[in-house]
Amino acid sequence: MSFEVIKGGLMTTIQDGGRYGVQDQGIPVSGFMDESSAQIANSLVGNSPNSALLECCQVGCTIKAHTEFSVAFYGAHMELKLNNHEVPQGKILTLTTDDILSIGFATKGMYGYLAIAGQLNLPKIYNSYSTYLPAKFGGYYGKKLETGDVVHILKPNILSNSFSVIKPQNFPQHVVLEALPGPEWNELPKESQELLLSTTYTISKDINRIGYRLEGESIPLGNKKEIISSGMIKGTMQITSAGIPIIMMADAPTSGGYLRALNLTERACDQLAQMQVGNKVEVRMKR
Amino acid sequence: MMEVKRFGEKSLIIQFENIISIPVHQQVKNYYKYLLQSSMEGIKSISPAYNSITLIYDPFVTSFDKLKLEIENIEIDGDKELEQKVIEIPVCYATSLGLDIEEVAQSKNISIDEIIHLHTAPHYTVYMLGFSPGFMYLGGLDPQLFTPRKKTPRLQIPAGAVGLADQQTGIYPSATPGGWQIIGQTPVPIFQVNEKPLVRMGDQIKFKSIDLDTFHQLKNTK
Repeated sequence: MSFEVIKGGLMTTIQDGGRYGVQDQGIPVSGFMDESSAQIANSLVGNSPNSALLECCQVGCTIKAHTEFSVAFYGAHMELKLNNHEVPQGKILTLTTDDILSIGFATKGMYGYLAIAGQLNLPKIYNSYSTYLPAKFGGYYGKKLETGDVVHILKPNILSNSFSVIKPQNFPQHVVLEALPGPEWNELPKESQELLLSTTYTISKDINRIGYRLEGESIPLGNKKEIISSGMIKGTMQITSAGIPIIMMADAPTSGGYLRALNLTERACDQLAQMQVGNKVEVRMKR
Repeated sequence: MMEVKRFGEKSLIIQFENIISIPVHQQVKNYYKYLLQSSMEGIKSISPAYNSITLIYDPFVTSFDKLKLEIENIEIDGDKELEQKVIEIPVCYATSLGLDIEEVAQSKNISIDEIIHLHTAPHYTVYMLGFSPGFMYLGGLDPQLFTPRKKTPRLQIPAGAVGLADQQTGIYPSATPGGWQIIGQTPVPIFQVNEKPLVRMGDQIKFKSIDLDTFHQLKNTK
C-alpha cells in the first residue's frame, strides 16, 4: 500500500504540525510553511489537522498510486491533473492503482499541500514527521522526494465523494502583514519604527523554509545593534546590523543575535509563506 | 531580576539580566530545570539561552497571563546544588585536521603545543545550545586564544571541527560552511539524530588532546 514518486518537483517534503520539545538541543521546530492551508488539506480527507502530508514548493510533484486511496490538495494555485485531466483543489479525489496525479507550477502562491487519507508509514524523528533538510533528518529519510521514492501508507482510506468543496484562496501580490512588537522593538529609534511600519517591502530572491529577506528601506539601528544570543520562533522579524529585515520561518534556528523587532501573527506567517519573489508586503501592528 | 514578556502569539520570553555571566547562567539553568520538571500545562518547548528562556505554549491549553503568573511565582531553592556534569571530548590537534592551527600559532607568536595547552586547560561552561542542532555556545576560552574569524568563510567544514571565533570556541556538529579558525577535530559525534544528547545546557566541557592514531581508532569505532 503505497505510492511512487514519478517527479519530485522543486522541493516536495513531508511536513506535519512541527517538532516541539527539542529546541533546547538547537533543533528547529520545522513543520508546515502555511499552516492553515495544510490543515485544510488534512481536514478535507478526515486526518487530524497536524498530520503529516506532502508540502510542494513552487513546482509540485507527480505521484503514481500503487493502491486505492483518497487525497485532497489545498494551497498555492498549482495545476492539478489526475491521469491528465484537470481536477480541482479543495476537494476529495480518489486514486486507484496506476492512477497518476500531477501537481504543476504555482501560478499564485508558493506552497501547496497534498494530504493523503490515512497515515504515512515513515519513522518519527523526535516525535515528528517533519523534514529538516539542513540536517538531513525527518520526513522521507531526511530528504526531499525524488523520482523513484516509494512512500508507504498505513491504513489508506477511501472516502466517498463529498459535496463539500473548499474554494481556492485568493493570493494578492500586495499584502499587509500583522505583527506584534518583538523583544527589542523599543531598542529601535522612533523614526526607525515608523520607517519599518510605513515602508512597502519587496520579497527578495532570498527566501526559503528558514527565512524571508525583505528588500526596501534599510532600518537604521540605535545604539544597540546586536543582542546576546536569544530565542527565535517562526514569525520573528530580525533586523540585521546592516538594517535588513529578515523574517524567520518554519526552519528558523532556535536562537539568533540580531534585534528582534517584531513577531508576525500566525495568520501573517501563512500569508508570507505564499508570497512570490517580487511581491509586496507592508507590516502593521496588530491592534 | 526576571521579567516575563510576550513573544508572538503563542510564545513568551523569560528575560534575565542583560549580561553574560556565570550567576545569570546559573539562574537560567535553575529556571530551565524547574520548568523541565514542572507540571505546568501546555508548555510545548523550552529553550534556554545565555540570559533568557523562550517557551512555546499551546494556546488551547494555557495562556500568556496564566503562564506569566505561574512563572513569576516559581520559587527556586537556591541551596539545592545542581549536579555539574563534566564531559570530556577528545580532540586531535594535528595540522592535517586543525587546518588553521599553524596560522593561529604564527599570528599569536606562540607554539602549537601552547595553543593545545591553553585550549585543553579550562572547564568550559555550556551556556546554551542553538544556531544548529547540537551546536554549543561555550564560555571560558583563555583570552590568549581570542582570534578573529576568517575573512572568507570556508564552503565546507567537516563535522566535528573544533574552532575559534572571536571570544568563543566551539565544535561544528555537522558539516557546514563557516568562518571559524579550525584548530582540531573530534572523532566523537556531537549530534546524532534521535539519540540522547551528548551535552545539555549547564554541563561543562573539557577538551582532551589525542594523537592522529587515536583519532582514527575512535572515529572507526563510532
